[in-house]
Amino acid sequence: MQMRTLPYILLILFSNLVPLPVLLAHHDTEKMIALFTRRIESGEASAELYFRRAVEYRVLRQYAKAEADLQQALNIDPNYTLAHRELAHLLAKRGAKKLAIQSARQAIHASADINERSGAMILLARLLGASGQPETALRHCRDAFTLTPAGKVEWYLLHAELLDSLDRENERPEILAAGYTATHSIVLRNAWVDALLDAGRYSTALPVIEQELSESRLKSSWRLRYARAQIGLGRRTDANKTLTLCLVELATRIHPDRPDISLIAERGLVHALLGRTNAAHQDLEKARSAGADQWMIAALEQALEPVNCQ
Amino acid sequence: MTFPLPLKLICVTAITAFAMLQALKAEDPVFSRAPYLQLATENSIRIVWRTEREITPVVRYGKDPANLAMLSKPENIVTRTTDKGQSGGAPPLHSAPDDTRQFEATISGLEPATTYYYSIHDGGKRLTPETPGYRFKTHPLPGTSSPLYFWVVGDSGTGGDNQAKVHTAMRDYNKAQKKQLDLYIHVGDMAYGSGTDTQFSERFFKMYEPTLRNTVCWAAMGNHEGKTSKGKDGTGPYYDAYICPTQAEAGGSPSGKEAYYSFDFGNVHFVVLDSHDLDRRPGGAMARWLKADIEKTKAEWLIAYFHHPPYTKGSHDSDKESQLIEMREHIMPILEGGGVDIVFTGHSHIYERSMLIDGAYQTPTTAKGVILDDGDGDPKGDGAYRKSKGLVPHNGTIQVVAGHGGTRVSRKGTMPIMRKILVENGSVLVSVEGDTLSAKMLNLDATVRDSFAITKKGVIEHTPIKDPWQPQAKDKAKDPQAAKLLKEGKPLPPVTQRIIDHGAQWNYLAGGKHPPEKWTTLKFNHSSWQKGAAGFGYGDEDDRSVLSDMKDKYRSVYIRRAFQVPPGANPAKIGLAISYDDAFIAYINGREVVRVGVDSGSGKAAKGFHSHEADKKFEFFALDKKAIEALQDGINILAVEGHNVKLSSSDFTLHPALLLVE
Repeated sequence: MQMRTLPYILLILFSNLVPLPVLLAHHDTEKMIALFTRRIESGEASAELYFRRAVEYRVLRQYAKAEADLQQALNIDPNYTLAHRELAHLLAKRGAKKLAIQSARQAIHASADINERSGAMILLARLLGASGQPETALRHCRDAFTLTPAGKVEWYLLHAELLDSLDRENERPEILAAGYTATHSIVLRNAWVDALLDAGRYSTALPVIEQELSESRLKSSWRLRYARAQIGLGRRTDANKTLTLCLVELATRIHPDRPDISLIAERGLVHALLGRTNAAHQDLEKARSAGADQWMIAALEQALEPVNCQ
Repeated sequence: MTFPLPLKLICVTAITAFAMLQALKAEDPVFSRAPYLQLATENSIRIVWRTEREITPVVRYGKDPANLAMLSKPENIVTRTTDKGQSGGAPPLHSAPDDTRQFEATISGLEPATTYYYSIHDGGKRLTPETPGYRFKTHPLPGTSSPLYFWVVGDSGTGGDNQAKVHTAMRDYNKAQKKQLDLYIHVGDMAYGSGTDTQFSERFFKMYEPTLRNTVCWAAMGNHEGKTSKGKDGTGPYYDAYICPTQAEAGGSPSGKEAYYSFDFGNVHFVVLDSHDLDRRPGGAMARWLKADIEKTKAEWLIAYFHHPPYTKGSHDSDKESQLIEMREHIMPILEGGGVDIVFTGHSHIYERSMLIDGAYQTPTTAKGVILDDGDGDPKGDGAYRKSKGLVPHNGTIQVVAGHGGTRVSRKGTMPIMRKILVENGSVLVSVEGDTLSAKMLNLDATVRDSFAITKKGVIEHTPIKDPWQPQAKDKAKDPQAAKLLKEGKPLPPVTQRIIDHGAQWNYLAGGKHPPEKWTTLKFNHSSWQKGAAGFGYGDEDDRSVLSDMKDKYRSVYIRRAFQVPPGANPAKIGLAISYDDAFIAYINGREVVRVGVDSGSGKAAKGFHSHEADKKFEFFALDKKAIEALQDGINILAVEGHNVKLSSSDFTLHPALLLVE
């Protein structure tokens, strides 16, 4: 037997001893990259191989390599929708907004069915919204709903956020209510309550808030909503008591060194409503530097606005 | 004519295998997926099965297996096919074989915490065999305290021998312990390599059929299922296989998606997340739902599970990979801020179980400032982890990576927050009863390889431990024999004089009592202690002072004896000769001189014991420079504390002598 053939024979023997699913199951990211690289270098360079290696690179946060592989995949197959979408995400992550939007548009163009198309439209709307083009974004978001009327939880949230960006907060409650009816998601129900408060519709929001306050174990987010309603209804003294209770609970929930940023944003708003602007600004900065989404800190920013103008 | 033996064996094996296959076919001629349970609540359940031919589906059920008097209503059985235009509005099956019919029967109006038996029929013809194995138990009323026993499996779906052995081990163990599962949680990767419909049928449903017919599997999607199923849309073979709550049907808050959901079992609240293909950021819909859900629950226990582990150095590295980092940095703060007790994950093909931790969100993960209790958590070892009653934010979490359910296991390194790291296949069995959650890692031989517990009573305030116990590095762990030798003494050299002889009289403290702080010093008065001849112990017939009350009651013994250094003796030639099982610390005049098999602490606070057999042999530890410095003219005190690795250990030995050697 020639020694050169021995490794292949061993491989075949091993492959027969170990069931294929066991081999496939051994998903070590670095080893998968090495495997795809070997296959690509041996001449088996397909769009799918580049795409799969890009996904593994993305898992390891090697975004430049992932981007290069996605470009390679698209050179081979310009209609590879998933690669366009993945590329759009990566480009947006590194701040290349225009290129990201371009990739999302190509993803729409390459979509094979309605689901893919509406999903790509939502991606485009999200990117446009983040690029300061809420009007165009809203149009694409609504186009997606036209294609897939049932929508998804994230779509309704995006729709409402875009309306907020356009200062059309009065339209938000209806969009979120429709989403809640369609999906039953508690996230949409809670966002609807927030939208009611933003729109000054306190009497509609209050029964829900009161019920949640009675049913919830951790109450700070509902107390905060309650206090906002109390302030809106001119009950400032009651609101201050409610906000103080919020702070007590938040102190137990916020880890001193590594806090949950949504709670920091919440505490910042409590401080702002109590008139503690320095503390509110500190929390706003903490939340921003931890990468909080705009919707998380929007109410806090708004609450601090009059102080900023002075 | 005679056949050679090997040929006979082959023939017999082939005939037996053929006969078994025929028997299986005869028993199960209709189902392409045998009946399994889904979405149990306190008053309802779903029963799902598949056939590849038309039947008239009927479910009979009742509390007595011999009298299944109740009948499902036809309108409560949904039939799904691959036909997009099927009637009834049910979503079509994603990629099942063409003739597939999937029947989903909803049985409602049931009593809580009650066992029912069921059978499946085609019109009047019974399809399931007459065995009480086809049964289900409704959940207890939400909020009520009810014992819970469940099975945790991850990364199992190879269809191979190890997966089958892990399953069999669980069944054998439960049979021996006379226990029945209340539910089964799978943390993902249940159908390698891509979670296709066929792979689900072969590597999940067929494999676990005897368990699935009477136990609901509440699943979290893994990355391998994610190759064919999409969390965003809720479509694919994974979503065809499972019926997950979207509208809080089983408790918790409605998520609106099958990809992430919660459910209650009595006073235990389960949260299930999709760590694979959804937005994991705090602003994403999943994190927003999670926060809302755990703010609302009033359960006593909070258990979360998902596929990608926030902490691992098994076949994956949570310091390097994005999903794992994001689950740690974004999701863990929400869970711990809501008082989570335990988190089960998979993905990494290993068993790793943490100490009691909080706030370990940084990258890379370190043990600094995040370990609240560095004990082993074993009620028969260092004791259960203690937490406050109820769900208290940041009161400590245990992380369990259970990615060892069937596929090949491996280890990249050492995750510093872990207390137990085992590179072998297995699964985890968990029970929750009153104020205690207990868990065991069972390997594929049905051997318990790790035990830990959490008790929740009163108010427990933790502060992070400054210098916590640390797991052995991977390289040392790789060769346990080499690691062990490092801790052992040398063979006994030729003896010139016995300063404290073998079998000498000592004062000793046993019975589960611990001495005061300065018990090792010369000044300490040990006159109230008992007297006895060395060795001390039980169980291996090498003890003169037999501690017959020690097993299962206590695991530490303290002994003291005075001695004098012989005039003119070279202290460098003095050494401790000791036979021990399992671990000990020796002191001369209050100074620690030898420590073997005890990772940290001393006396009552000693932790991290390593197993060692005495084997009726003595090992020799020469006094080092510090020990020699501790010696003084006249009377000296040798004090030794001995520890057993477990309360339930079969033996214990502590037999020291002090020798002058050549």
